[in-house]
Amino acid sequence: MKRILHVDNEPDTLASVKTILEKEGYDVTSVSTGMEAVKEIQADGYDLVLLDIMMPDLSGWDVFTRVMKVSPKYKIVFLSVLDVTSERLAELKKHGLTGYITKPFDRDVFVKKVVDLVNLKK
Amino acid sequence: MRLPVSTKIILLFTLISLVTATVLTLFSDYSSQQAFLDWNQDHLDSIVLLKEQEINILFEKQAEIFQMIAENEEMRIAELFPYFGQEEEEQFLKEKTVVNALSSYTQSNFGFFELFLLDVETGKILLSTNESEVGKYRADKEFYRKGLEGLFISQFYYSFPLQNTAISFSIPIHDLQQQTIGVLVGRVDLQEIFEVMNEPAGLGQTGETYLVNVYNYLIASSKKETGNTVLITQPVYTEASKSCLQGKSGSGVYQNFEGKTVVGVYHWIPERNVCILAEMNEQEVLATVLYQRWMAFVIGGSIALLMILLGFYFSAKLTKPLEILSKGAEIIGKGNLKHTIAITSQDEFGELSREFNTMAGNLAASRKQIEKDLEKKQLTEKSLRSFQVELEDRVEKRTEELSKANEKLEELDKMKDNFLNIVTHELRNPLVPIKLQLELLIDGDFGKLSKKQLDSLRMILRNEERLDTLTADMLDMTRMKTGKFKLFPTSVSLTSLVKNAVDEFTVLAALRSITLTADTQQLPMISADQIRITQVLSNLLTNAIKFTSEQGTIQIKAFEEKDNCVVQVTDSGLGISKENIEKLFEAFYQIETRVQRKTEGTGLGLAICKGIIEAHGGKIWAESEGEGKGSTFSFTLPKKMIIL
Repeated sequence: MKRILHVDNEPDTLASVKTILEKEGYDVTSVSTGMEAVKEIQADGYDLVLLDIMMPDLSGWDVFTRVMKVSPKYKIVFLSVLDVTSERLAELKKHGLTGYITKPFDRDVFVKKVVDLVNLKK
Repeated sequence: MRLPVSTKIILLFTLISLVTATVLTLFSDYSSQQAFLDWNQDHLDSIVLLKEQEINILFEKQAEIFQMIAENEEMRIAELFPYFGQEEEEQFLKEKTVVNALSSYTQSNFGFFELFLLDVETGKILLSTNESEVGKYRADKEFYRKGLEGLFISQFYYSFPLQNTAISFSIPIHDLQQQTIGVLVGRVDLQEIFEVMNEPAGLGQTGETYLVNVYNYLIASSKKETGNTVLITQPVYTEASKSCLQGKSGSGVYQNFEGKTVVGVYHWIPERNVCILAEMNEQEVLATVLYQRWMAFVIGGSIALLMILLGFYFSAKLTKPLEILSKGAEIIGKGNLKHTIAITSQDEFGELSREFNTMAGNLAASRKQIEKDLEKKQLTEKSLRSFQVELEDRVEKRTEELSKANEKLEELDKMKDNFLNIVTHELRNPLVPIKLQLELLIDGDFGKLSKKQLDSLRMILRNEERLDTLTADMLDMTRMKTGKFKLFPTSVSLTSLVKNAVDEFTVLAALRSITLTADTQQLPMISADQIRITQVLSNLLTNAIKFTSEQGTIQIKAFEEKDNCVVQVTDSGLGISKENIEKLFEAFYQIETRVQRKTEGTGLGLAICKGIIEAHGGKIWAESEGEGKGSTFSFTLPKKMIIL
């Protein structure tokens, strides 16, 4: 079973995503702060990390850069209400980012993207 | 010349007086000198003539006396002569009688100092008042020879016995038959002539009259020192005497026998064969002239001095009013216009001062007027200035207020932007679980739902999606407003973008029985943000469909125009009124129409379109012929995009 770590400071969002992805057969771990996310990533191996950018303590960027310094092989996907352009995305990918999903999203579109990214080899 | 008038007047007076005095002095000096010299000559002339006349008179008188003596019967001279054969005693007595008679003449004041009788036959002195002379031969003498012919008066001659100048008178003595028997001779004392000559009247201190005889001897002189003697030792050889002894009369300036320069007049007296001269020392004559000259100088100088004094007086009198006027003008010039000039004389100065005072009065009046005007003007200026200051204050205050208000507004705007940003984010985040949960429900993940339940959930989902769009638009707007809006241009085919949009909206249009047609040229590739241009096209087409009733048409055109590519979306919909057209592209603006409720929108769509197109360097605008007549939305994109 593939393991996914979802980081978001909105508990409802965490719960909704967990429900949807578990229905697809993934093992989803939800944490609500950046610090927790960093601890979790260092302690355990995940197939995919869905990372919210805007969080109160440690932002998604900070988590991303820390993780990439230690283990660049990690697949991290940003989930954000902020739009991203293809150029910006390409630049982020150069730094090790795996994907970017804009919130809010349709369930179908979201599931398809997550499936693709989990299976993506980095 | 820069001199005061007073000095000029004085100088003028001085000049005039000096010139006049000098000319007068010189003229009078010259003329007086001439006149004096003439007068002097005339004077000397007259003295000479007078003396000559007196001498002649004296001689005539003496001659008369002599003739009277000769003819005196008492003398009975004829009886004396011997050829009458008289007795010796009788002869002696007769002689005695005659001699006594003659002596009585000589002793009387008749001028003769010696009388004697010459015998014609012997040529000897028959009898004489001087007994020692009797018997002396005198027939060789001129007075004898001439005396035989008639009355004879001799030359002046020097008498040795007399030791003085003398003159002899001789006259023939006749007997009863008128035969010349003897000659009576009388020697004359020249005392009277000397007295005549000695008379110094009119001759001054150095004047001298004298006689010179044909032997060039000085006979009689008016001078005491030469006295009543003939100075044999004093020969006279002067120009005057030489000329005179040639029988001429005249005058001149010459050296006299004493070697002194004299002014003299000479006259030849032919009856007496003598020259009479009158001389005055030139120095004395000139002294008189010099005195006259000195007098003329003194008088002229006095006149000049008087004139100069007069000049001072007149200059003072003339310039004083001028000074008063000048001082007055200076005082008035310094600003004291109340100053008046007190010259009350009835002449031009008085008139001038009156004019001057009038002028000063007029000046004072006009200055008063000017000051009044100035005061008025200053008051006006003051009030204007205070008004201006007030205005400036007000403007400043307003400006301050405005800038404060502006700052406040900007702050508010910033706050609003921040607020919008935060709100948008915060709004979006809850939308995520709402949407996901709704989808889970609708997908039946939590159990099968009834149709009514599904309809309800779909209604909720639809409104959630509206909120989603609204938050997305709001994010764009805040970015545009805060300058964080960025384009990510790539090389784009506008033709395919339009075609894709038309493809996407064809189904939606068909659902409302709207005919959507496209008329697109093959446009060149341009640099643009593909996503954003698609957003604009979607917005315009969404609006067109939204505002077009069923059976309507929508046409989309894409073509080139000069440096731009143009896209036009024309619908047969509601159309837009003129006043609304201008406000269409403002944020949160929605046209209020009857069908408003049917339509859905955030009111941000066109504002975002405008922001996107303008960020590309293009333009977007709407045209409509009025409500109900449809509308056309157009935008341009430059072929060579300039990213702003």
